[in-house]
Amino acid sequence: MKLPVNVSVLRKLVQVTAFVFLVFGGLFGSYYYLADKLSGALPALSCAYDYQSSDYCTLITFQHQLAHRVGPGLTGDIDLMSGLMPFAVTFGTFVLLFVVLNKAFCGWICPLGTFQELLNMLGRKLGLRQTEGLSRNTVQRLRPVKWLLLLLLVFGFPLLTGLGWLDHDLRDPYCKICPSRILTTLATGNGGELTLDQASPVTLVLSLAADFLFGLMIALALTLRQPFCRICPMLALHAVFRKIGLLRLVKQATPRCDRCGLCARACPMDIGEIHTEMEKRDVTFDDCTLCGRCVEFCPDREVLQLRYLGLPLFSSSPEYFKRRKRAQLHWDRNTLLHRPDGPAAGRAGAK
Amino acid sequence: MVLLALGLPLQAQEPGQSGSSTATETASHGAGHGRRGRGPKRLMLANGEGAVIRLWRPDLSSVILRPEHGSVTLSPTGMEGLHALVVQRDWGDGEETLLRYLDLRGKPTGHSPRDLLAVAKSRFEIVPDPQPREHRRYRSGEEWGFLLRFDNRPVAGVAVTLTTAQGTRLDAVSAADGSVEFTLPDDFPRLVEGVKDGRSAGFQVSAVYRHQQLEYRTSLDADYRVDPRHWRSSGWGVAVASLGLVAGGLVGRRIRRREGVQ
Ligand code: SF4
Ligand code: SF4
Repeated sequence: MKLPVNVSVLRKLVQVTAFVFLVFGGLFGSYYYLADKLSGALPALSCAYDYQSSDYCTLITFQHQLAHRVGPGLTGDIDLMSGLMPFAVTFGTFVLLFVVLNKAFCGWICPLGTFQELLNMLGRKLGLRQTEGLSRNTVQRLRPVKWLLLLLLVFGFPLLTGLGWLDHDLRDPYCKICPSRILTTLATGNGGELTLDQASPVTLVLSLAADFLFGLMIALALTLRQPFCRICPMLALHAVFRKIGLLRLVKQATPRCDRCGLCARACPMDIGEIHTEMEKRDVTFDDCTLCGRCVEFCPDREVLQLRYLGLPLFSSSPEYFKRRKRAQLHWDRNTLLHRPDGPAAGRAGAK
Repeated sequence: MVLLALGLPLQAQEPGQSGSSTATETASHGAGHGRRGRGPKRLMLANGEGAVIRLWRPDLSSVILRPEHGSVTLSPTGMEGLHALVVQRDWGDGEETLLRYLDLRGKPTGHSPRDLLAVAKSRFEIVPDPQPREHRRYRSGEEWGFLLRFDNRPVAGVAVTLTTAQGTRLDAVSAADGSVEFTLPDDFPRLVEGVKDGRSAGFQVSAVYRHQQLEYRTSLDADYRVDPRHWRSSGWGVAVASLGLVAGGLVGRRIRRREGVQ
């Protein structure tokens, strides 16, 4: 099937629509109260602190339920079942949603992912020097960070708080440093989250970290693709369940694969394994966001595919590759500030 | 006419209102969520003879509560979410209503707070528009809207008063669509800048409406907290984020040097 626009453009349209709906949905519908939000367990960083949001991410619900329900349930402060049930319901809702789109919640839906991509597009249009991609070493060193954030800040500290072992201010430590909280509240005109909170040493440290991380992410995103995604705990949570998602990235390797490497260069998450993997069919790796760029930039027929329920949705092909490369060259040429050493022709940059 | 009052706002009795009903809330708050108590709450009611007390649940069912020895006990309803306590007294020549919303814990009902706010709980009513969202509180310095309704229709041009437990009084008049806005006064005494202050106090939004020679007096009763901007600095927040921006620029440059540029 020949698409009227390329997949990157289609994805951008979906992302921007999802951003507007998730961040400002309350302006069009009735999503103000938490009870009105769509699920309360969204597998993407749409933020509960944004009063206009139409839904919010599962990470805040996990943290609060661990601190206020599961912990007290385990210590006997409340009935164990009423402590565990809400957590089970949230978990079930998250899994149900996740199965439908798998990690595409990152590549197609997440407001924070979209914001980083838009910033990177801006950086390119401004002619800022771009980081081609991170080295395998750096990527390997960064990979455990998201697991640490997930285990410590999303699950560990909130549960320990609920058990009464940690300060109450550590009941939702990930939310306290999450860039989406600052981004989405600022987007709706609420500056109350970009503050330094002197209430206690814990809030002071967490708000310092949050504000710094927010600035850091913005500056990095102008010249590097998806800087925060690389350490995002939601990405780690997705990785745990990626085998049950209906959407997959599938590879049928050819002997030429290990020479070309265009797919890996196109990948915004620098997943080198897409290029080097010759055995596995399912190449939906831990860091994959199912954005489909590797499929777009693979010049070989049906080597890479996005498959839904086992059926091909979008396959690599030489014809598509040629069209896509032309579009990329055209896009890369049109920057506001031209540099003689600007984006290299034909490179699979961001669009 | 006697002004009914419930809970904390009673500390803010309006001057010159002799014989006011008084009630003191002795609530056991649930850990972690302040007002979202799990256990029973007892409301002391003085001078409340003849008042009908009704508790509305999130699913719009309601029960009449009977005061005993000058107090009324609010037992857990088993439902999660917004409840409304409505105290009403018929004075013959008019009706007096006092309403207080309570966010209680229990099992989710699938009902939005919107449902409870939409339903008429008395002929003349002041409705929060919006009600602070779950887990959120009224805070000093914030602007909040209210809606005046009579027989569930907006009423315009009615004088509305907001009084706080600290004695501040603000006046406004309802607009054509029945709406009125107040900025909650930053009137907590003895605030220390840079130090968290967890105090809360009551405020009451009241109005009187005359219809067919009858006088309808209504009050909405709620609590507000100290403005967190007293210990949360936006200036420092922006400064730290700017530092992050600069650091990001430097780190980006370092990465490009080490890992190559495009
Ligand atoms: S702060 Fe981040 S983790 Fe918390 S609710 Fe908002 S988006 Fe989710
Ligand atoms: S990895 Fe990126 S896209 Fe995915 S949830 Fe995190 S911020 Fe959003």
